Amino acid sequence: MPRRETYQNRVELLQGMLDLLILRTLRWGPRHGYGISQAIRSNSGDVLQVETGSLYPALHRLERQGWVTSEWQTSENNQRVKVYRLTAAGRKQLLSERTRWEQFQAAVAGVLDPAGGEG
Amino acid sequence: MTFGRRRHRERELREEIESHLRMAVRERVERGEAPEEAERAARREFGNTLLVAETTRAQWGGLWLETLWQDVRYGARTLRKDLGFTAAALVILALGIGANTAVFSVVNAVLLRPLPYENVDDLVLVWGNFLKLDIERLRAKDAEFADYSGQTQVFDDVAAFSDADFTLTDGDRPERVAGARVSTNLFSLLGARPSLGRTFTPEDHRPGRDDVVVLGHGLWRRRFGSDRAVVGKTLLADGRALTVIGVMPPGFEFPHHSFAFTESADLWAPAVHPEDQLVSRSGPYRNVVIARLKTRVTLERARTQMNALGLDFERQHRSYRGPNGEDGGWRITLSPLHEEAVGPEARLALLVLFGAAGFVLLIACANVANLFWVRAVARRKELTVRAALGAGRGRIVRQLLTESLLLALLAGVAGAALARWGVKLLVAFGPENVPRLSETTLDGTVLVFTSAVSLLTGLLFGVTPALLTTEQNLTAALKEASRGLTAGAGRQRLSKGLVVTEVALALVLLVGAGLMLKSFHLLRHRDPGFDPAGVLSVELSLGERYAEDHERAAFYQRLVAGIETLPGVESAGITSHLPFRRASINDPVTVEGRPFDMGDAASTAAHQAVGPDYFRTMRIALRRGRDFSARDGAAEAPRVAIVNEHMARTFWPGQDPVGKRLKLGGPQPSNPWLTIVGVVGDSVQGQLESALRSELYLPHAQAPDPDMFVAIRAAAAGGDPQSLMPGVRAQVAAIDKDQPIINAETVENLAAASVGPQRFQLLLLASFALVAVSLAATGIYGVIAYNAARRAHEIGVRMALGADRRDVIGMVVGQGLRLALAGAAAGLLAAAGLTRLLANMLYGVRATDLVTYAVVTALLIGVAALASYVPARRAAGTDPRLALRDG
Repeated sequence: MPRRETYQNRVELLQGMLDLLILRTLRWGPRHGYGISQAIRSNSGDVLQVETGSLYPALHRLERQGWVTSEWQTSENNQRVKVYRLTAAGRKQLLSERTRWEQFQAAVAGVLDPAGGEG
Repeated sequence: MTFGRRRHRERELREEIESHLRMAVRERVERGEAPEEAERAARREFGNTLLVAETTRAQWGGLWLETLWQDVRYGARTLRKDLGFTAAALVILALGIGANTAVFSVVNAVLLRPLPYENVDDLVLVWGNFLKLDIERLRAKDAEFADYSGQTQVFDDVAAFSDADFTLTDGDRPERVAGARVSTNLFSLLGARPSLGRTFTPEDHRPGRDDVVVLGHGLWRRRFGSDRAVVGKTLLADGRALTVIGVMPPGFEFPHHSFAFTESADLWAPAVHPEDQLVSRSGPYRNVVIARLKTRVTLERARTQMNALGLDFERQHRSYRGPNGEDGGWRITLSPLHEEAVGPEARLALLVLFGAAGFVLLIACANVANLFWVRAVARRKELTVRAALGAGRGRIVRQLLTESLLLALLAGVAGAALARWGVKLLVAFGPENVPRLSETTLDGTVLVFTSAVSLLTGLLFGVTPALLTTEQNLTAALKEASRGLTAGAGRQRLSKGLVVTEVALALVLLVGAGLMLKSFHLLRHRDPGFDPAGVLSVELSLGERYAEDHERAAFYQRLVAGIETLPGVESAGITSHLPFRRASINDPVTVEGRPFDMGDAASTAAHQAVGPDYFRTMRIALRRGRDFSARDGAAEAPRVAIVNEHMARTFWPGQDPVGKRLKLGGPQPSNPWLTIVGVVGDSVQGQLESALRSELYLPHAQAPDPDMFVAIRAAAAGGDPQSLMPGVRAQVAAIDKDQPIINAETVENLAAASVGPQRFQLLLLASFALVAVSLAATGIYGVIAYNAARRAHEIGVRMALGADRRDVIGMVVGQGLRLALAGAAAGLLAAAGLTRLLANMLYGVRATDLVTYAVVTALLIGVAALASYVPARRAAGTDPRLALRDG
């Protein structure tokens, strides 16, 4: 049971972060789910490996909230893929998430490195 | 989200996941991995596709409905798979819910449903009382009604009505119809409007102009064939032609048939208050006064005002005090209209039944909870695997609960159907004197109740097993589950606890039923002081045509003489108050040689007028002196009276009352002295459970009451009193062809009807107790059988070590008895506390009657032993070798 509890905490804390990462990734153009997870991994230097169990729920949630839309396309190999794209509302959300992330960063920094310099 | 769309989205999601995997595999292959290896690695890296799919689906909106529908379908499938279990649980629950629904329908109709008048909560009846004389609920004199009408600070409107019988003579037979004389504003006060014509105006109340009537719907249908042109037609009653001016709509009824103090009216006529009676404050106490409280006036405030008014009456008028100014305890009381329909005894009785039905339902729930729990334990494997696959504990609990609720709702539907049938039985066989019983239906309120009870039931028996069988520790559970039917000690306690509770509840019901049975038996076999077998009673009411005393006396003398000549009649006698039909009220009595004290309730007696052969006909023993005879009717005969033993003991203890004198009423000279000429045995008046009291009998010739009962005893054994009716009818018609017979009934039937409510209650309570015991026995059987099966290994060991069949049976039955004893102990404690509520309903039995408690407990223990014996025998038949091998 303890494991699940921390997981839930992590979800709450990092759900917003994951959304930010996804929206950010889509800023550079529409992608499918696999592509998004690969992009996040490579852009973070293999540090952030998003589990599919978090990625797909996040994608569907973002779509429900209207920040991304999706459509089915045919890939080069004549396979069907579901491609996600940022909406105008999503772009706006990206901005406010970004601000929240920077506030979070500053807060963490404040804890780790207080102005008095106690270390 | 519609199902089609949902399936489409699910398909797309699966496709999305597959495409992800495809791309991952392709990338690995491009990097040089072997295809099968790439496939495995990609899938491993992806994770549990089912779990991902489920978590993703959880993000979709409108999900709870989907989940619910899924759970319902799954639950239905599970229930269908195990039809035996489902059927058993359904039957048990349907019985419990059905019983509750049926009783609640009755409670709803009798206690809860408001009377059909506008803003019924504001309506009150105004009664006069002389509390010190034990005289309560007096109707108002005309002058008092006028005073009440003036209380405009607290009343919006005040109306009055009085009983008025009409003998309709324009048919082939004279028919007596109950009616009411009402004030102009009665209909408007009730908020009722006629469906045809009009109701009364002040004009109609002037003496001489009051020959108009408003018809009730039933009478209009019966006598005028629902003729819509009835307004203006006439009705011949008591020799007068009455003009119909209006008809009331079908639902309207006033007085309501549930009012205990009066009959419902089939037609209404205008009340006439003669001027002289208003001024002199004389005249009979005949008006029932109904008032509507002003909108913001509380009952309390109105009562305070009426108390003040009562004091005013006493100050201003001499008639409210004794001849020497003694305080008679005059008070004006207000009673809410809706309390008139059901007395506190009936209310208590209904609530007791309701409680009993609730107990039965609780026992049923406990039984089904045990069933569910046993089955959930058997499904442990399935449930833990589901948990391993990622279904949260909450989800599993929710799904199990849905299954319980589904079963409960199905049982609710079945129970409602049972209840409908049960209500028909209740209404058909219920006693006539339970007011409003006939109005019982399964209406909206009842169905809402049934649904709520079903849901609650489902939660009750579903929640604990559901919570207890969702296992946290995965591996331990799987290991346990694969070992077969097992359950931890804690779970055993639940099962046993449930059974003990069942036994306790069943015992309480048994005690209640036992007490009521004893009470009913004592009541039914109470010696009423007379012999009711073989006696017919015929009720007559002489109208205004018999205005003179001697006319009335002569009528009844001729009638009795004529009836006694009929073949098959042993004797006949008249009385003004027949046991079980009409009880007389107390009046003060002045005893010669003693000061008159109006405030002393002990110096009151109930009086009635009887004819010469009455005591002989009813076989009431004559203890001293003589009966009334023809010479008491002679012109200047001395005024006489007969007292009963109770009165003799109370008023003249240790003396012979024959020859002593008394006055009925106060000592004023206008009141004649009566000489006692005889003493008769005590007899029951009123209802069978009434206490004996002082009775004073006057000869009818000297007190010719127009409304009398003729008691007719059939000759010889086996004579059916009802067969005398045609002869009696002929005798009445021979004297006066326009004289109707109001009622005819054998006194035995009246006696049986008098305990009708108690019999009804006993039947219902006993039925509930029976069902409860059966359910508890089933519960015991279930637990003992389950335990015995579980301990088969241990039993095998014992038998291998030398225990014989008897030892095994003793062990198993002993287990059952221990459970039963624990339950009985708890039940006895509860019963001792709860049966106090029954105390008022019991006759001749205390609520803590030890014999009843002991007998009932022994019965229950016996049933428990039997229920344990069956599995015990089976366990004793175990082949030790098989049992050891399976261990």
